[in-house]
Amino acid sequence: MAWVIIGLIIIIAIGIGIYITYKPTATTTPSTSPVSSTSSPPSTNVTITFAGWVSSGAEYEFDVQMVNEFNQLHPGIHVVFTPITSNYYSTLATRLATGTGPSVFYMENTELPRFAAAGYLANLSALANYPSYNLSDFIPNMLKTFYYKGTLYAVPKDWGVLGVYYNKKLLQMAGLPDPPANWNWTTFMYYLKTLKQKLPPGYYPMTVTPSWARILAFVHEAGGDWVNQAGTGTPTNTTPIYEGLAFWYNLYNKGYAVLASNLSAGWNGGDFALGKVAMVVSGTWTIPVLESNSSQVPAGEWGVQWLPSDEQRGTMMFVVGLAVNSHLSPAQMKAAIEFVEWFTSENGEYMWVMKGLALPARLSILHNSTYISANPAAAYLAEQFPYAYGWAYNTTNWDALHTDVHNVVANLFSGTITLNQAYKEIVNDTNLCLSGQCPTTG
Amino acid sequence: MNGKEGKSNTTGYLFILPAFALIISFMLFPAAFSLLISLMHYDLFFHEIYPVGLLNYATVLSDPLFRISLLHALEYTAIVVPVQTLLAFAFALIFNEETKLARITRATVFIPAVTSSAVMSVLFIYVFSSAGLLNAFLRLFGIHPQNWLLSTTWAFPAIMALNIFSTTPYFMVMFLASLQSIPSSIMDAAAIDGVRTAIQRARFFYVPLLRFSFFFVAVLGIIGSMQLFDQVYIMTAGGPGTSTYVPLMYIYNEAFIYDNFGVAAAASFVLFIIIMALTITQRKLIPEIRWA
Repeated sequence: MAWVIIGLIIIIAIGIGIYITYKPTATTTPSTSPVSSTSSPPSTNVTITFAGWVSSGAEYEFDVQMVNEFNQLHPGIHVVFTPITSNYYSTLATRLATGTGPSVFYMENTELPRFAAAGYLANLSALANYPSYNLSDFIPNMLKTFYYKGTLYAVPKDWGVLGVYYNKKLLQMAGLPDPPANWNWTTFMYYLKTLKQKLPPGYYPMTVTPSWARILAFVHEAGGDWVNQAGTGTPTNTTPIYEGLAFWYNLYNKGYAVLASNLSAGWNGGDFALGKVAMVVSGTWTIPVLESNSSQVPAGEWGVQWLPSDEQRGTMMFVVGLAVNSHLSPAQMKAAIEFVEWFTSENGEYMWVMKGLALPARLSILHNSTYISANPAAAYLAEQFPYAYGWAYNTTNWDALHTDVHNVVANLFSGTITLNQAYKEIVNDTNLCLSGQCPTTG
Repeated sequence: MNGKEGKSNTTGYLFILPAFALIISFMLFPAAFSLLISLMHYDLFFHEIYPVGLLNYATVLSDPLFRISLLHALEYTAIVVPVQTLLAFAFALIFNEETKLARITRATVFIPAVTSSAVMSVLFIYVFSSAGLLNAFLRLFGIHPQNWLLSTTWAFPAIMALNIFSTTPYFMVMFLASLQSIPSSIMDAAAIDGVRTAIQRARFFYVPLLRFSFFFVAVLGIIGSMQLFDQVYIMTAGGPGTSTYVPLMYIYNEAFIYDNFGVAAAASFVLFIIIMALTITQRKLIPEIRWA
């Protein structure tokens, strides 16, 4: 009896498998025709879903507030916020592939090429024609990262940028002034050497993480890039990759920095908020942590500075945009575009960034005096935008590429490979991954 | 079969129907479907799905990383299962009393078993860090601190220690239940026959009578050990190097990082066959004896 049941289950599974294999499939080519909120039927009593990850309880509340505000202003449209709480891109990919995806969703520039290439993202190029929307108000090098093969597939909602956070009290203990805006790698090292000599036991000059996302900023500062313009491999000159990697690794290897995992918070910003670390390189998401009640560094005792420069200025920006599901009914599509247009408009984005979680992607808000006086540290770091690089490499296997290179960095910090080996592996793995042959060993 | 038996059978089937429907929907059907996926190039995202025969199995079996991960799982099983089984049995013997203190201690010892493995893993990242609890303790004996999870030598033993710490209490409860089901008349008779020490009681009565419990605990231990994932994923992600890479990490990465669902499914079935073989071997070595 049991074998009969198991046999039946296998036959049914094979039947479903054959159906899935040979059924007509959705188009896999990117949608090229622009969609707009004016070319479709008027939206009345339309329900759409909006999905994003939730980094904190505060972000969830802010998303709900934004949705409620939109629903009040647009009586014919009902937006429902349905957060994806873990494995965001895997879950989103599965939902979109099975036709159950949300109407509007968070999208980063790293993942955008893959979703666009598979045809799941609506073409938003028509937003450029909306006079009140003003697409050119977005930070240009940021907006550029949301294009794939010349088509706009998402618009920036907000962003974060790397900067140096310093503890004024600990710098004073070491006899150091606040770091100057024009500091370079040499000055930065001087600060760390002095801190190492003068800080009492239990205090640390800096914490670092074995993270490619931090090293890449220094690769850019050394005058290079990770991936070439065509997205087919590393640039011809890979020396800056070595220099950026060596600079970051030697902070740890030569004892100027300890690993962030050595302290209880486990990440640079959190460790800095414990009050035992003099300097960290971290993103603007550290600011709400420092302003919270749990921070051990009182207001006024911490400051921020741009990243120290080398051959050139450079930093990394982490941009989150809003994208629209390409497989919606015309009425839903119109409603979805209206929601994106409202959320990322000057008013919508102002409401969002004034909640203090992230930076505005619109220049008009970034230079708005009310915004600057309410968020002085964030606004100062955001002014690095002309030198900020986005994670846009026109690759559809970003996860594999990044995981491989990140693993190499982790191996370097654990001592299983040398600096030179790590450099060679990063170059080799990048070239292999971008030619579709990612090594799975990391 | 007469009418009464038939009616009785139907009633029986109706009773198991809800559970059976759930098992089919969420276990047997997904397993059968995974078997099918293991024979295909399965990229649902780009809608590229076509049969590839046994190619995925060939890929898995020829991948050195999969072989390394299997060796790690076997090494882990060989160390963790005996240690946690013996410790669980020892704890069960110690706490097999009905005093108030024993009840409180049992509940305290059981806390790690009911704590989420994700929470435990995050806590133990700090325990094993340079400034963590373990180094603070070792420093008392003059031992130089190190970041255990960044060492290719110590990262895997650290994960083993965490698992022994968190699963031993769970198996202790199983042994306790078995110990408490032994009729007191047997132990009274043993005492009259001159069995007085705890070691004698354990050697001549508890171990033979609890043979089925040992088998059950060992089988569960082996299955759990071969399927080690969450602690590795959270604490080391398989590193440093490949020093903590285990089969489920391989399967996860193939599916969700490299989008090779077919290879991931094939690796799952290879792992299933190995676990099945280990369980059958163990079943042959330890014949099932139930205490009725």
